[in-house]
Amino acid sequence: MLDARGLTKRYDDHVALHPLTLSVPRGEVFCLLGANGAGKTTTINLFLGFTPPSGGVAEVAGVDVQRAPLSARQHLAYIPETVMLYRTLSGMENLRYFTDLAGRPDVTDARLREILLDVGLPGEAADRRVGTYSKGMRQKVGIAIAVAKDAEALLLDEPTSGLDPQAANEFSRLIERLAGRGVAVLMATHDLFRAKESGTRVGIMKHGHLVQTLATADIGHADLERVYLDHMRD
Amino acid sequence: MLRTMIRKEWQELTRDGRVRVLAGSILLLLGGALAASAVGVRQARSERSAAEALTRTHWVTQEAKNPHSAAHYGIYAFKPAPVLSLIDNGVDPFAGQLTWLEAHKQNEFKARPAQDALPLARLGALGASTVLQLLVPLLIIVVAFAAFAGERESGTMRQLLALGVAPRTLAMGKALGVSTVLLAVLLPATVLGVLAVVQAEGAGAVAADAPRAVTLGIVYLLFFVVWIAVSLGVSARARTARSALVSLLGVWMVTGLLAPRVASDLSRRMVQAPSAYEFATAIANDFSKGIDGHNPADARAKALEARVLKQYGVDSLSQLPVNFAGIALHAGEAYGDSVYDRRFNELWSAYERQEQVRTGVAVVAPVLAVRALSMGMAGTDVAQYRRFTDAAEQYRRQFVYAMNEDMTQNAGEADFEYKASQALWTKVPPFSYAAPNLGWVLGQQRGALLVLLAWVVVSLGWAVTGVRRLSPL
Amino acid sequence: MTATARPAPVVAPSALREHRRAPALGRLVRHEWRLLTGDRFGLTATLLFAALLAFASLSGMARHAREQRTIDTVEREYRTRVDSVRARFAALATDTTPPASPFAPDPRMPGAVGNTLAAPWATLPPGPLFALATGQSDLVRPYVKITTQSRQTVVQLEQLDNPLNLLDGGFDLSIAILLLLPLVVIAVGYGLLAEEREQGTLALVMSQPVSVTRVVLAKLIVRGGVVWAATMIAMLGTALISGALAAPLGGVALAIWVGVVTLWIAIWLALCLWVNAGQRSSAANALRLVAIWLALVVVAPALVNAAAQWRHPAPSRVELIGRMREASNAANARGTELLKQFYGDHPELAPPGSVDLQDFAARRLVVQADVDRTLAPLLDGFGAQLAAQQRVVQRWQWVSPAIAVHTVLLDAAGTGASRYRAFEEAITRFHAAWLSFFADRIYAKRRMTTADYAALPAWQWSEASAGALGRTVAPSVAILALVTVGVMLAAVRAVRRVTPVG
Ligand SMILES: Nc1ncnc2c1ncn2[C@@H]1O[C@H](COP(=O)(O)OP(=O)(O)O)[C@@H](O)[C@H]1O
Ligand SMILES: [Mg+2]
Repeated sequence: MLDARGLTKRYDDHVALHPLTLSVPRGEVFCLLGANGAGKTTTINLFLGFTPPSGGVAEVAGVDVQRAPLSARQHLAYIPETVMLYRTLSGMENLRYFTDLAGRPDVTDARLREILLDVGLPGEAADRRVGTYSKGMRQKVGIAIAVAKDAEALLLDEPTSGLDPQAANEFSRLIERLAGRGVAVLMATHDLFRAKESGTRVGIMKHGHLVQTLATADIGHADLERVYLDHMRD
Repeated sequence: MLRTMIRKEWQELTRDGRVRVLAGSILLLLGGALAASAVGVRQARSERSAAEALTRTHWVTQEAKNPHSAAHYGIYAFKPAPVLSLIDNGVDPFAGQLTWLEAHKQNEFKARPAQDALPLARLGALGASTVLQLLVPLLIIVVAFAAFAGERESGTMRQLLALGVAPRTLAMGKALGVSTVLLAVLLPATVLGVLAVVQAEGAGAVAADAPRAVTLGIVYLLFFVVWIAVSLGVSARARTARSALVSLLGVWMVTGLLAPRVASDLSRRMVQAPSAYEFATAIANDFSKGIDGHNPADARAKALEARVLKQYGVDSLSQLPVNFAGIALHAGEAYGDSVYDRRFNELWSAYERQEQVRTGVAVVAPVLAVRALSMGMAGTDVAQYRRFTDAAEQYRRQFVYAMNEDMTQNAGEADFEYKASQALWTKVPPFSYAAPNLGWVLGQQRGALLVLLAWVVVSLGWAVTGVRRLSPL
Repeated sequence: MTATARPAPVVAPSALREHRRAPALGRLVRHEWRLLTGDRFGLTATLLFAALLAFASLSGMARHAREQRTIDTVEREYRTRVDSVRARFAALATDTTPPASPFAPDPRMPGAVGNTLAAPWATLPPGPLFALATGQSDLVRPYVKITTQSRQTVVQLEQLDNPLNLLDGGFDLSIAILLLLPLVVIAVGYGLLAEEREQGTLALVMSQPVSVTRVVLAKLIVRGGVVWAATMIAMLGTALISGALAAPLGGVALAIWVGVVTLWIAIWLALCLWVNAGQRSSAANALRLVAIWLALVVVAPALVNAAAQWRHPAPSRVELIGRMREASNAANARGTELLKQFYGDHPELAPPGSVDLQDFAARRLVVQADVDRTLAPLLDGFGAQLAAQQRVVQRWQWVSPAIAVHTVLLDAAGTGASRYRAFEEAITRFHAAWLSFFADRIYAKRRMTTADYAALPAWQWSEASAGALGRTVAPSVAILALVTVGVMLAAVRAVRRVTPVG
């Protein structure tokens, strides 16, 4: 579903992403690990078409992001570190707007309320101004947008940073549920524990290189941390 | 400590391209405006003194003729162009530049320069005063809006306050930093201004105008202090730099741009001044009810005749030791004077009351007070326009009186056939007008002065309370 | 819109994706409307603008009513005066006794009739959109008494007013549109995209399959629409209430205003958009837009006007006084000679019997005619220089669309330079006709006849045709349209390149 072939990003003389080849099929959660500045956000931005690649191709559902960004985005949902919404509008109004933008005006308001409840937003909150929401609630609205849109691929950029453990846990459950429904998930994170818990595979990035890919089934929590720290050391 | 802060502010502000561009444009526009108006004022002054000399020559070189004909021939008076008008030409483009002083009639001043300009000129010429009143406040806003709000937004305010910097010190540092940037513009501007004045009139005039010029400078400095205080006060209270900027720009626009025009409309609606037609009709009506020196058939003239005969104890005009036509002309002038005094006084006091409405609006828009004071110091406000037209009218009355008196004493039986010689013309002194002193001008503009001073006090107080309650959040 | 383009057919789209479609503009617009109503600052600015528009409308209508009232009064005064003069003439027509004095207001004497008794007012009715634009109307007296005095005594159009009020000008709709409207557009548009970027919503919006131009279009429709609607309501309301549609050219003028105001709003929306396409903060955008406003609306018109004045300076009225005095001194000295020459050239106007070269009235006329002849080129110079200045401005109006907007709004309203210049020229012509009508009779020492009374020249103001108005404003409107399209295209191109990342 998400495919990178020789995907490269250069800023002047600085290479943010060395040729990356990666494929995230439906139902898989691929976690990108790496220090600040390793190239995780760059990778996600390339899949979103927010920045043009210096080389290679990023494809979403077989659509070249560079060539047809709007078509590619029909299949995508994106959740940044903090889902920023229109503060003066309610959660429901925000969800309605983004669902419309996603090309799904046919999804009824009743269905959107169901989705909000389903992702765990308290019922009374749906019609409150987003300005009063906690970060956890915003992230849930972000997921709700992905669900309402019926996205096939989900790009997440450190979505649980700054969430309390319970909220982070709830959030991870939602991601797993989406993956269970066949969504391809690419998530940048610093949370090794959650990467191991929710991820199908983890990739470790360093200075723009994807230096190692591991299947989480094959490795324990402690091992993952050791491998990661080993990479960071040299 | 303070010096460190000022240096940091200076560095930060002068590195900001916007500040550099705006400051540079202000200096450029100011320089251009001053240079252009220095040339203009010099030209206007030489043109006017030439015209004064010419009208004097025309007067004294009249051939021998009846004094009343000479009074009808008349003299022209030209409104002087004060040197400081190159900084603020005030109402000059909209005030008549000249009038014809003649027998019987107080003519209005005619020939407004605006009459011979395009409507585009009405959008506002870019004189030095506009730059000082409109653009410099904008520069102050640009350098000051982020003073506190920006530090708050970027979180550096937490740092500073946590380091133990007193809010008052912080505020002083900011205010002095802003002022330093402003001075960097104002000092060269002052030099330019002085150069322009010297260029327009020579160093001697600078000394004569010094009290006005210095007061003018102080007025503008106070105005800038108000803007610095308001900007810092807003910045101290605003949560984000953006909201500080946007509110300040709003205030700038409303007070600087709208207030003068709205004040002008309000004053027109609250105090109705007569139109040209109404004014002329009122005067004509006043006259039709009265006597006319040319018309001895008139009933009032009859009464005058009876009075004069009684006064001299004779029973026919031919027995009078003086010329009756001259006396009738005197009486006609006296009546005319009372009519003009009344009507022109009504007119000017309507304008004065309109100006009071403006002073009222200045309570919310100090720029109006500054404008009034600036024009006052430059000698281009309505009060000094009126003072000049009054002086011209007094002069008219004096020379017309001298002509009628000569007729009364010397015409004898000849009446209008009597001719006076050139000696009589030269007995009339040339018209000269001395501008009022500083005290007079300040007295005229005391309302505006009070409003400006009140603004200084209130805005400083408001800024200080804002800084006292400075919070990093 | 590219948003509807289907994906490249590498992989067949799943059935679910079939009913995805680009969001209807209406829905986007509704969302933007909600955002705008939540924007306290934008709302305050819009409401303040609406209040000021209302104020401008009311004072405009009051101004219009006052102008109309004054003209009515003046015309009534003329009718009563002339009726009474005619009645007195009818009573005296067969009376051949000489008048009491040469200055007596005798309706049989052409001198008295032409200079005072029947001296008509030349009046200019308020322009079609007078209530919308003060323009030069506060400087120009729309009624001038035409007498047999010299041209430069009669053709005086100065209105009496407080110079301070003239300096500031009034606050009317044309000023609201020219100065204020751009600032209101800036107030609602400085954060068009920058705000979305700052609050982080831009990334989320751009992760959706919708082109930014479509989203931006909705923003422009809402924000521009509010300003447009408020302005149109004020404009049309004022125009209709003040009877613009009944006035000649009213409909055309109103159409021109609607078009120009729409272009003007579009230009400022496009500028907001263009500035927002940069990656700067909304505060920086606000400053930049205010700077653009200052340059286009304040500085550029002032500079262009200064350049025009510098290039074609108006002649000096102060100097003119000296010239006039010299001319009249010279003519007076040659009075007898001039009159003799005149009767030599016009034997048909010589009075029956012997010619009196000392006749006061005839001498005065011939001297005045000589002075007017000498001064005519000087007096014409004022109009000519002003016309030359206007041409300079026209040539440079591309420097700022504000210049074109100002000129067109005033010209269409009928309070601009062109209409008042036409008025002055018409008065000058009418004065010449009036003067010559009476001069002939004064020279010939003829008395007024019933036929003369029937043939008195009558003032008639003829409004320019719609075609002429159209030709006057067409170049400016064309420039405005070009500027609008240019800025719009540049803005849209810039917006296409917008990305949500730094
Ligand atoms: N717009 C940009 N211009 C120049 N360098 C950039 C830009 N964006 C990111 N980089 C650089 O690219 C590298 C990768 O950054 P990023 O993908 O944001 O890292 P992270 O893994 O923390 O998300 C960093 O070295 C960063 O400095
Ligand atoms: Mg990152």
